[in-house]
Amino acid sequence: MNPLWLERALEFLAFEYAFVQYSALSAVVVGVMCGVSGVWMVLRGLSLVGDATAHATLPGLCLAFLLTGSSHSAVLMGGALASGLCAMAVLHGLQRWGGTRPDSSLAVVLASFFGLGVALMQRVTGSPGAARAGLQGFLLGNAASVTPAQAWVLTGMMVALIALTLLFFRALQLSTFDPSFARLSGFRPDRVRIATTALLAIVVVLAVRAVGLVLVSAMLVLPASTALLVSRRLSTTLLLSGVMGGLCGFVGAWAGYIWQGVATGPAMVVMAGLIFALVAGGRSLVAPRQQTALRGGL
Amino acid sequence: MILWDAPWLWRALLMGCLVAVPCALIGCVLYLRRMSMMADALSHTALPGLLLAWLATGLLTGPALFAGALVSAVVTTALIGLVRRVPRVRQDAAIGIVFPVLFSLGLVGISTVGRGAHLDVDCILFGNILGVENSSLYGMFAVLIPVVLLVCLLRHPLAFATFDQGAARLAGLPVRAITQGVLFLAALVSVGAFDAIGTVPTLGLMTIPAATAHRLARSFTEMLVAACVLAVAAVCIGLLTSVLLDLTPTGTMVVAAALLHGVVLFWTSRTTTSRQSPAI
Amino acid sequence: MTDGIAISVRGLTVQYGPLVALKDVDLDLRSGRLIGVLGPNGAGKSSLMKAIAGEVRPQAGVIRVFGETGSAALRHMAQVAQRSAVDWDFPITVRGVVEQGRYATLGLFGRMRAADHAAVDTAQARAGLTELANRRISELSGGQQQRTFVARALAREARLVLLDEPFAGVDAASERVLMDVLQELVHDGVTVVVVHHDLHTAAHYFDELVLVKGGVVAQGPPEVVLQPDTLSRAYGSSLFVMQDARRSGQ
Repeated sequence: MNPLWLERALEFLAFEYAFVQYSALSAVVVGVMCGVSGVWMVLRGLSLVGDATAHATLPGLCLAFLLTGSSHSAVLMGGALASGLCAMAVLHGLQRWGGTRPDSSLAVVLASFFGLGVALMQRVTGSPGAARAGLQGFLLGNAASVTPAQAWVLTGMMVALIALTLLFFRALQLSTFDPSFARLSGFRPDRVRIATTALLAIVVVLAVRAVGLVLVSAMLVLPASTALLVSRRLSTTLLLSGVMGGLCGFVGAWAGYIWQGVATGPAMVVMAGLIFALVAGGRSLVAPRQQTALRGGL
Repeated sequence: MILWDAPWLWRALLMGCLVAVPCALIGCVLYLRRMSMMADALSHTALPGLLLAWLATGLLTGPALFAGALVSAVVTTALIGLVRRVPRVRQDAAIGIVFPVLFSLGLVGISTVGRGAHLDVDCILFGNILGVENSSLYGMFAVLIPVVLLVCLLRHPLAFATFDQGAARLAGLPVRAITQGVLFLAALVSVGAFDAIGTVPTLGLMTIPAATAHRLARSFTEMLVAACVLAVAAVCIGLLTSVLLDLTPTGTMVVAAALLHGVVLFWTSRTTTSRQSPAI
Repeated sequence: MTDGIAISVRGLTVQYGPLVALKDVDLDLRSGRLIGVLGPNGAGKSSLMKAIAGEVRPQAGVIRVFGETGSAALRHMAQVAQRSAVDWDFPITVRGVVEQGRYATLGLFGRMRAADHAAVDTAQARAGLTELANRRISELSGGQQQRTFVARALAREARLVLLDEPFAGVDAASERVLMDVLQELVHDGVTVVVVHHDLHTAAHYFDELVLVKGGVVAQGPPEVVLQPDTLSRAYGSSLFVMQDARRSGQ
């Protein structure tokens, strides 16, 4: 007689139920998107900005629901995107013109926007409608709440993201690595940077349903950081990060199915953290010579 | 008015003030040490700290608080330090790697092995200040005393160690121990406030009043006082607004702090006195 | 080819808010030379380089590179940034960096052809980096890192190469190797402009020196520029430069 968790684990893998299929699909797809776009975020040093933006989507979600009364996906996503971008703008403004320290302004923006969202949650939870359950799920993620239509949209977005990354790889690589040289070479690094920032906000908003806004930044940072530990080229980094993100997504959906109280987001992040720890630990055991760079020679 | 007769409101106000003061004080120190993101980390890792304390002692209050905070502070700073030393890890990413994983472990824990602790997700994220229990009040009071005493009595060595670590070290101050101590106090405040306030509002009360006070104050002491006043004001304004407008109280507290910050930013930039940094 | 002037600067003023870095600078740098730019910190050396490279918008003035301005001018040059400005943890190999030198001609989508690969191979070989081609840049020594970026400039086949403090943090032996590469470049007709910090080596590294402090204090061969009176105008106190004879092999 198998223990309950094993029963449920095997049930999931049987992929019998449609909602199991779609939750697995959406979690994997979101994981891949986070993995791929997270690489740009980590390389550009925006890890904490991603955190602030993700938390800042909450007031947008709440306002979109409260003002329109609709829990339609597009409306909610639109609100989330608007408030996320607004937070990025405020952050930019604070640092540029407010003379505020970068670490402090990050914390201030994160807390203020999230605080506003928290304040509005009371009204949201008081409102009738299944949307209530929906918005709670946005905090820590609920892959099972994704509808088939949404899952296919997410898949399409992932494909588009991969295609754009492949197509503009050269510009992305050069603009991220060396904007001055990019300019000399006739590229437009400023445009690329704006595009990747906007992309980040979009991925955050798309990922919120599956991963939850509290933890999505971790899914952007962890697979990418792990991939950077072991890859020599940017292309390998993107590939590894995407694969790891997808794997974590799958495990997240799986764990959420096995243990009812566990939300998808935390499960994904625990898995991602585990992989990071294994890779980082394994690396220091296997290749300690790489840790001291060759210095003093020609 | 019926409002004034409501005991739950007075208790909430009391808890809010008990939380606001230590948050503001520690927040000032963290702000000046450029460790505001550590506040983010510690306010989240309060959860696994608390969970471990519960698993070890079966309690969520009293000495369990201190034990949980200690574990949380030590493990968080140790892990962040460890991860930072892994080659090819970005320094800014190190914080964002460690605390979400610890926080997630805590979340997974409370749904599995820690069910008996009755920590629910809403409470963790939003707090539950209107339903605060006596034990939480006592616990927070027990946190407030050492924090206020230590920060106030030691404010000169603290300021010295913050502004000029090199000189402080030469003068014989145990700078590293002071840093660890500050982080422990931050963890203590996070753990104590956790129940009532929740993760991100704790972060808000730690970081926003301090940032505002920095723009107003001309000395470290002035900054500490200003931050406390601002934090308590934010709590009061926020609580009352939340009751009147049917909004979540911990959220409105943070929004109130943010609005105060905005007003001060606007006002100080208009008078074009350049940003005043506190002197010792 | 123009009248042998690589860079022509007229009336250049660069200002950051209230801080004036360069005021009304006129400068002509002839092509095919190894030119050192010297001056104290904050003198405007980096501002001058940034203005030439189009990174900073001057408040006034015109800069012509081989007779052209704006983005047409940028095509002629390659820049080797300060080591502190580079992201050494970026996942890229030596060859990956050198290949970037071809991107200007390839554009967004062009494929690398045999000629491009050959140019990359040649550039790597000239900089002595062929065995290190697949090494990640974080695993290189200071001198190797600098040579990687010089190789990129080579692959770009630029007529003008700008280097900002290339010898900072590089040991003496690597510095010599790097100087050899730069001198080879000049021999091939490339104009090399180096922001340099060491007055001692400046005396025998460069064909020509430009001393900058808010503007051009002096310009000319080293023995003319490195005189006590010109140096004190820039550095503010009396400095002693020991002029060794040009010892070969140093």
